[in-house]
Amino acid sequence: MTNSNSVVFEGASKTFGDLCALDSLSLSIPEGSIYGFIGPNGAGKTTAMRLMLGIMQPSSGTVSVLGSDDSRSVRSEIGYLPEEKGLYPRMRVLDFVVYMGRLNRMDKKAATRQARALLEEFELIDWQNEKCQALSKGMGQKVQLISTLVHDPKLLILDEPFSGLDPINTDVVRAMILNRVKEDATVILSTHIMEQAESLCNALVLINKGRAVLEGSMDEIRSGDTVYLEHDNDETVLQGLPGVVSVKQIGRGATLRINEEQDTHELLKAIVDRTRVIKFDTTSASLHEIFVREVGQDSEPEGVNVA
Amino acid sequence: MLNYLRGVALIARRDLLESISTKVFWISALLGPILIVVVMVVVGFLTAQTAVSKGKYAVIDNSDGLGVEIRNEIIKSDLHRFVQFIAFRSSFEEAFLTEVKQQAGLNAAENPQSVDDFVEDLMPYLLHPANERRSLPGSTLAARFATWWNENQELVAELVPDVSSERYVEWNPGSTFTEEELNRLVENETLLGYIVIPSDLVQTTENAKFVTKNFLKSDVAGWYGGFATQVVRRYRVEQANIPEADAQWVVQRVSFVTNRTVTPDQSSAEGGAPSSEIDTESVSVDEVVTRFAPAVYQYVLWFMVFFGSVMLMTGTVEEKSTKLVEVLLSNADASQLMDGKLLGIASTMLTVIGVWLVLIGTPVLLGALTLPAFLPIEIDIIGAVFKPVYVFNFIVFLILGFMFFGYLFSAVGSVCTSIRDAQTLSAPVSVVLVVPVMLIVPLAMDPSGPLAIALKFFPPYTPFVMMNTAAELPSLPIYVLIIAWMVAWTWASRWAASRIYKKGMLIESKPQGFKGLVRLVRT
Repeated sequence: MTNSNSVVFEGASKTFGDLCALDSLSLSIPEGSIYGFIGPNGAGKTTAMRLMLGIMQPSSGTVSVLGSDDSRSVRSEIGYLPEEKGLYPRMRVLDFVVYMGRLNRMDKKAATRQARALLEEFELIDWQNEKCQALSKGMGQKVQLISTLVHDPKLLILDEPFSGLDPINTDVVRAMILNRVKEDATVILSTHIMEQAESLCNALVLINKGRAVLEGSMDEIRSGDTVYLEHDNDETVLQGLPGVVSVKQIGRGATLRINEEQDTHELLKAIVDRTRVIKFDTTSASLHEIFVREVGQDSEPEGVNVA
Repeated sequence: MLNYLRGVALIARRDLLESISTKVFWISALLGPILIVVVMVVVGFLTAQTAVSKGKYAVIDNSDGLGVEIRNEIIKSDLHRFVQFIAFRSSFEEAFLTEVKQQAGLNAAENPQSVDDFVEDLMPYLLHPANERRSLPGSTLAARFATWWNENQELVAELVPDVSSERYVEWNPGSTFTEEELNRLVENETLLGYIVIPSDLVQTTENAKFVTKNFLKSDVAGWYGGFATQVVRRYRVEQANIPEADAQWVVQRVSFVTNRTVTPDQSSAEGGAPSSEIDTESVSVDEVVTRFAPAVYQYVLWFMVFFGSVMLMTGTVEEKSTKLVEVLLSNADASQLMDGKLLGIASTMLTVIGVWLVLIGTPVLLGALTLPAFLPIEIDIIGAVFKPVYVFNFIVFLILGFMFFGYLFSAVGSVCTSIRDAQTLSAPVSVVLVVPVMLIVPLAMDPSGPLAIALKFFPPYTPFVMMNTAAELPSLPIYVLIIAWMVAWTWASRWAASRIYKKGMLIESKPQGFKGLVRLVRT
């Protein structure tokens, strides 16, 4: 592992009996980046996160975190927000955050000071003495996020951090992520909101059935070989177009995968001969489109929680 | 290591504070002893009520007056109890009883015969049938007492509750009642039952019977049979022409006073005279209490281990339901979390015990200190029960037993998503854990027997058996070996449990049974 990477997977696999949850995953997550994990349910994202946390050990390959092959040894430098969020209902908000800080080797005084500062930042200071069971769902999630940050981790692993948050709180969490990165922390997140991943992440990996289908920077992933078309006919008129590898149409909008050497000007002329074109866009495909293309039309993000 | 222990302490502290910061905890802790006492009193009262019948019985006497003689024997017995009470006691609210005591010279300590003499004086006034009695009232002390006795049966029962008239009253059916009619009265519970005295009871008891609705409650028959035996025996002695003294000698019970052997070492340790031979001495009450105290310790130990382990299991299932497990496991080792929760439950239990000790222990301790003064025997209850070796054994095997079973129950809880699943999966362990309770008495009776020796080396039972047999500990090397053996098994329990716990806490599906647990240990 180089010094500039926070996390490195090298051929990491994890099997449970006959099931291969993660298959030879290799990737590097640079320090100070925001790195996205996307993929449908059961793709292996949570397993990958658990390997990073050291909750599980890889069946083969290695996972290095913050320069250590044993992430347990650096766990106090990792902050983790799981997808399933929970609190101790009868515990006071401040006590809960302090407790989580102390589990990460903070002394009580420092943990209390930092907990109060974060509660202030997330506008929950008035709730510090309330029991967690009195909080709304959104407030509860913010408290758990605070408990993830209280020990000022170098690496943040956030599993669905925007799940269940209203737009205002979503912006608060976005701002927090950006602030942390400014302070040289690395943020790894999974989300089923493609727009969030698209606008936040520097790089991402798309995992499907335990394998990395796509991996790279956002520019690398979005560049290339896709044309977006809106027309007033059905998909059949687009069959057999020169240089078109595949067509997927939903409503009037169709995504055409083309060969790299295909001239888009010539393609447009061929399409115009067949149908009335409303929109022809050769700009990069959206993450949503890439996801649908790679994972399959039957795995729509909204419908299957493609986080 | 220090960081590990710090984490364990943090988790334990949180669990403890969460438990003891609720009103329910304190209400339960404070009401617990009261509830226990109430339950014991209620159960004791109901048991006493159900164990001994109370009501009327009838006698069908087919003999030539044996029923009357038995009735007189019962009256004599009741009179004897009451007169003896007067002879023992020095003052009475009833002035008449004081007068009786003085005039009849009743004094149990100085003149025990006075009781028998006065009862003999009384009997002619209370004989059955009535036409054989002396006339009442009369001016003699015996006549006046007999009058008082007939008129004050409630006071008699209040002063001496074990007189038979308090429990059983003979109801005279008259000569016209048939057995069929009596059966109806028994069936509708007007009568406890009726006794049939056959015509030839002195010769044979063949046709003697007691008819009752509930055959399990035959205490009336036992009680009545005792008096009938006395009367019949008297007749038989007369018929056989045996002198009364000989007859008494013939029927005298043989009893052996239990002594125990004392080795020279024991003798000198107990402050006895130095001797080179094995001696014998009688068994004191202290020794009996000391011998059976470990059985009580074992019950308390079992109670704490069983309920502590179950609490741990349910706490683990609840921890899973908070959805915080993944965060906790990312911040702490699985074994750290498991150890912390175990320590947390142990601390909670110790808090409850602390409360109970104050609430129950204080009066019990005071009772133990003051009770001997009221007992007719000399006994050092504190010294007999709180022997250092017992207390040491209790602490050591409570820790080992609680850890051994606590880890197993934690492992079971970790793979379950509901309390019901956990109860189902833990059933085999619970069954194993129930057996030592059934063995409390056999082990206490024979602490060096083959059962005790075998079970000492069976890890699930080692803590309980070692506690119960603490009155006869094995030699020091064996004792150390057993502790080392149990420590090894406790370590193995923790090792296996932590392997299950680490994976089990992340399992969201239903548990796969015992095989699933074994697979989690092996993978």
